[in-house]
Amino acid sequence: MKSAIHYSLTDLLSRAAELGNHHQKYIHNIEKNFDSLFALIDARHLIDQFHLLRFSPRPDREMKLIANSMADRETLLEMLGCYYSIQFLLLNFKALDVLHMKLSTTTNHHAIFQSFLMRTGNDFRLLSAAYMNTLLEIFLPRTKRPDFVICGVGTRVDQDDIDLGIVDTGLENRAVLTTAFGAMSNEMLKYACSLHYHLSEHVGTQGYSASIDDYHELLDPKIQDFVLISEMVNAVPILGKREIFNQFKTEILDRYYYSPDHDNKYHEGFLRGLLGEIRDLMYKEPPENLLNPKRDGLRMLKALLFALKTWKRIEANTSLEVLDILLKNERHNHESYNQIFQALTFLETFRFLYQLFVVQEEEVHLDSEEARNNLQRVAYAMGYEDRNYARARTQMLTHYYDHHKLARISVDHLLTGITEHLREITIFYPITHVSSQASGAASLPGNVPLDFIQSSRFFQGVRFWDDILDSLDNPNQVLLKRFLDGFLTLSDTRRAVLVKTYIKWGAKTPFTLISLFGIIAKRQPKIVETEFFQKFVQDFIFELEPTLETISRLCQTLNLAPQIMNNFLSVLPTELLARLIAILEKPYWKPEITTLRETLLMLCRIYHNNSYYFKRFVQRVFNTYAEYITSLNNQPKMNQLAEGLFRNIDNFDSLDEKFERLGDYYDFEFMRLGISLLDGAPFEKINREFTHFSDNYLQMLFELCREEVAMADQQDVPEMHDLLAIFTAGGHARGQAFDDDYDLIVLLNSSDPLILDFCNRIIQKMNKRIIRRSIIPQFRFADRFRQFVTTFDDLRHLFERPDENSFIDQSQLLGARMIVGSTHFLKVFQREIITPFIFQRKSDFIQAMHNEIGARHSYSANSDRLDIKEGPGGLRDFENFVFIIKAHFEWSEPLTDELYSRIQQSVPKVATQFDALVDDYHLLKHIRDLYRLIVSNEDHLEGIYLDQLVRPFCLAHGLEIESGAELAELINQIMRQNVERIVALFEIFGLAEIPTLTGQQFFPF
Amino acid sequence: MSFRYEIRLSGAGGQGLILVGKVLAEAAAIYEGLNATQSQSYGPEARGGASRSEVIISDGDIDYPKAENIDLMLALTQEACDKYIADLKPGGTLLVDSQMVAKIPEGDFKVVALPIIQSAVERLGKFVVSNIIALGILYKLSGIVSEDSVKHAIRARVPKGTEELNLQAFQTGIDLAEDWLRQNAH
Repeated sequence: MKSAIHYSLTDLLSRAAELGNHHQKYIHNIEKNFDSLFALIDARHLIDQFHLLRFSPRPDREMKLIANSMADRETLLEMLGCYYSIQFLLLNFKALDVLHMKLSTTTNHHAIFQSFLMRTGNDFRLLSAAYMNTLLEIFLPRTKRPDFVICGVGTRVDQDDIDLGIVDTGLENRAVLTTAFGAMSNEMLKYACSLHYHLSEHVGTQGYSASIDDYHELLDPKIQDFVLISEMVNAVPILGKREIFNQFKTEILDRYYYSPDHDNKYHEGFLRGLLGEIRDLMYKEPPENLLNPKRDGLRMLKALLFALKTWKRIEANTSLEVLDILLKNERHNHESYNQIFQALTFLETFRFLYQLFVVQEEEVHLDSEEARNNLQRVAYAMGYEDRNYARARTQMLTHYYDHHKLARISVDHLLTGITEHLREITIFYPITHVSSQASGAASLPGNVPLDFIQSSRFFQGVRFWDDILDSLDNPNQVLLKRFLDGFLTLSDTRRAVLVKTYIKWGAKTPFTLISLFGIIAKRQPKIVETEFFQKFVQDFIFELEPTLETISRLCQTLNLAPQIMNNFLSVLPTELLARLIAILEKPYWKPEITTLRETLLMLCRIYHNNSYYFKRFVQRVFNTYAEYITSLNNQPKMNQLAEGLFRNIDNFDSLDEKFERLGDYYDFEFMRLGISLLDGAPFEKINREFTHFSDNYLQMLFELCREEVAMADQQDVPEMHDLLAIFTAGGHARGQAFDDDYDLIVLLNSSDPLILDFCNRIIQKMNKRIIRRSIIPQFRFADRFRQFVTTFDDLRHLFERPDENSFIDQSQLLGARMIVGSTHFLKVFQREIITPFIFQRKSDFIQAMHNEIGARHSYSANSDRLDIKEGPGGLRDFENFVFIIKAHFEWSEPLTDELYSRIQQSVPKVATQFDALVDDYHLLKHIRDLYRLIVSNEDHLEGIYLDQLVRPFCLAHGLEIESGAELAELINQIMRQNVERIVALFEIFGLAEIPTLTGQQFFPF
Repeated sequence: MSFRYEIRLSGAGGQGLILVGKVLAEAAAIYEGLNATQSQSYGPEARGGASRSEVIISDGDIDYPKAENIDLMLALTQEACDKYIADLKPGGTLLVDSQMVAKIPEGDFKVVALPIIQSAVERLGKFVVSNIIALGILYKLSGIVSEDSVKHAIRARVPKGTEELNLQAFQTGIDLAEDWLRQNAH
């Protein structure tokens, strides 16, 4: 007959089945052994001594009762395992039930999470310590037991494993301990959870334990790894001899705490390790479909608390206990500590419940229905309920990301104080405190780089050297000069050895070495050109192994310091960029840096593949807006950023700032559209957008310059309604992108000297600003009239007495597009200049243009290079042809698609031929733009570079071209056809024949 | 005389190697009645670069907790392969992901190079089960525990709702290993 306990047990097991699958182990143990255990207890009349329906407050006593009742070891171990399994389930259900009750009645959830974590952690330690103690009694009876102490070193509430550190008294007793702990481990693995003897993996010889001498041997000469130290500093004695722990604490642990007036290098090393980890984690963006509470907050928060614990000598064990003391004692940082409290309790509780309900893994996948269902269970346990606006799991995930951000904000705030503390206690004090005074420099060691690398050996493996980098970056350059002199004054051989040492050191922490290179390039640019520096960088790049870790570290550097990485890449020669690309292209799977890797790869390729002309824009943009690098692969976001940059200009107060931001906007858009075009975006779209932003730029530049001049002339600002206009001519007027010059025509319909002077000063300022963008403004007529602004009278004067070159000026005016000015101005301009001086003299103009085409062909025929612009059938042929048509029909609009449509509609019999001509014109323009971005801003194309244009060109047009030679053949074909089409169109239009179009040598390569 | 079999699982954090270690250890200890230990690396290296998990299985007491005479080593990254290969014993077996480990170290051991991660993505559409594919191969190559025990241990270690996917991954690993064994039967 079954007892009430059996029925309750059935409930317990069915409830356990709802937890994660790993609870099957406990269910299996209970199902297999409970009847025997119950019979044993019952037979001994001990039922009233046991807690089998609720978690026992004295599991040690009850386990001892079991142990005393059994003689057969194998059965005893099964009974103990069964008892442990029951208590383990009861422990967790007790925790869950209390949590649920409290969450439904209290609004301060963080305080409830704290109490849940502390209570559950304490209960788990109570149970596991009792079990371990009982097992040790079996495997190592007290009578045979040597001295040792077992310390709990991990997070108390963690149930996936138990981290232990066992300190013994030396080799003489280790074999006995090892046998006992080996047997205990096996039992724990079967019935409880696995034991990890982390410290012993690093310390001592074979065995689960290590002596204090072993710790000395390992930890005295070097800082080793900070995770090991974190575990030790967290150690709490659970079983064994307290005296050993006290000695261990005094000799080993205490030196990692700050001690005024003592050597603090161990404390410093620990801090550097912690700060390196915090800095790495702080800037990590969680991948979209993968959470990891440790990575997203817990490690960073705990590392910060370890740093504060050792700095402020806080005598508390768990992170929550340390935090509790800080909250009480340090009111000035109360807000940050409170944020840490919230983030820590939320993330720890989430992790605990996920591991309880789903799986004992750190990574939480979000991308399947099963994963979402599992998260729903975690959300319910955390007190969330389904609402109309969002399901429980959605609310929980939203809060997860909120707490992730909260962790970052709070840690960021508190890091400053810890870094400052580090600067004060470091053994590198003379370096971090060098002043610009001679006395400060005198305190530096004889050879700074040599001394630093030798001293830093103690800190091997740590990655936080920001304080040293800050000192090197000091504008007074006292330290930097001494640092560089330290290299340069050594003999070649010794210098080579020192450089190699730095490279070995830097390969493990690329962020530090790349930052150092960046500081040298910024403060001592002449050094960058030296063989010493170039070899240094080259050897560093070639030292980097093409491994996952290198990729991670490089990505991390981009994430931490995008500006530094951008500037570093921008000065690397092609071969080194190729090496980095080869490393980054290695097969890679890690989801958390997939996006970063793609971004870094793209940035490397931009610097590797493209022209110096284009790279200047990229370097400038990301030097100013480094944070935008991470959006490099996201064109819609880049577009939004560009819009924001433009709209934000008005929000700045000073004109200087507005000018700066306007220039940034130009650079950003130039870069963004260049990248799009290289990525295969449609050429017409890019040209349209380029024209749009370029017009935006010029219009706002004009307004700002006018404002600047007006501010200077407050008394005499002339009124000039509809008198001034700015036209773009040449390529920009035709919507051509990526030109390195602007053809501008500034026209004034007045000869008032005051107005003329005012306008000239505006344009003078525009000229100055445009040049800063690496674009040369060409002011048409400026040479002729010796001023930027051309008056209508000037033009009348010019065209009333035309010379042999006047047709060029006429064609410029005919092709111009107004970007600043009114429609009234345009009408007057049309009436007073265009009509009388071009349209009414069109036969002269058309003849002159014919002659010009012919003359250009003759000239090009003797050239040994392809000129895509001026060559026969090139861009200029088409443009001149259209000028002739415009003059013929007396149309004045610029060369745009609207004009081409008008031509086709007006003369339908040319539509097909003309349409083909326009298409080919666009193809040639596209090739020219790509050549500018990838090779150089030249119109003469070199055949050897055409290979690089093939990919983006084909992507945009859906063509299948294999090589640069094939592309050259296509260009050849297009230009030949253009010539034939223009000849044919001239005939159709009944215009004069071009005599020099046949028999040309089109493409010399 | 009792046997002792050492398996080292190496790769990078996030590849699920600890889970594989736990499954193997529990398959041996809980379902086969053998003794087992499972350990894992921690410290900075496990938080970025190479990481490892080790399983020692024996039918006697394990009084020697560190794996230093490895019978079978899995390497899912080049870096882990380079870093941890030294302890592979003469005549041991090195199992690598053929895509991630391009440079196979030289030595007196058998090399089994198979597309583990690629198979996870291409055959099952989930990178996340590449560890269980590796487990299937390890099971087949080692023969140290039975298929049923490993399947039980898998079911008891993976999230609810993913049991079938993981068992499919395990079978994929077995298939890959069997193909390899057939092709290299000489």
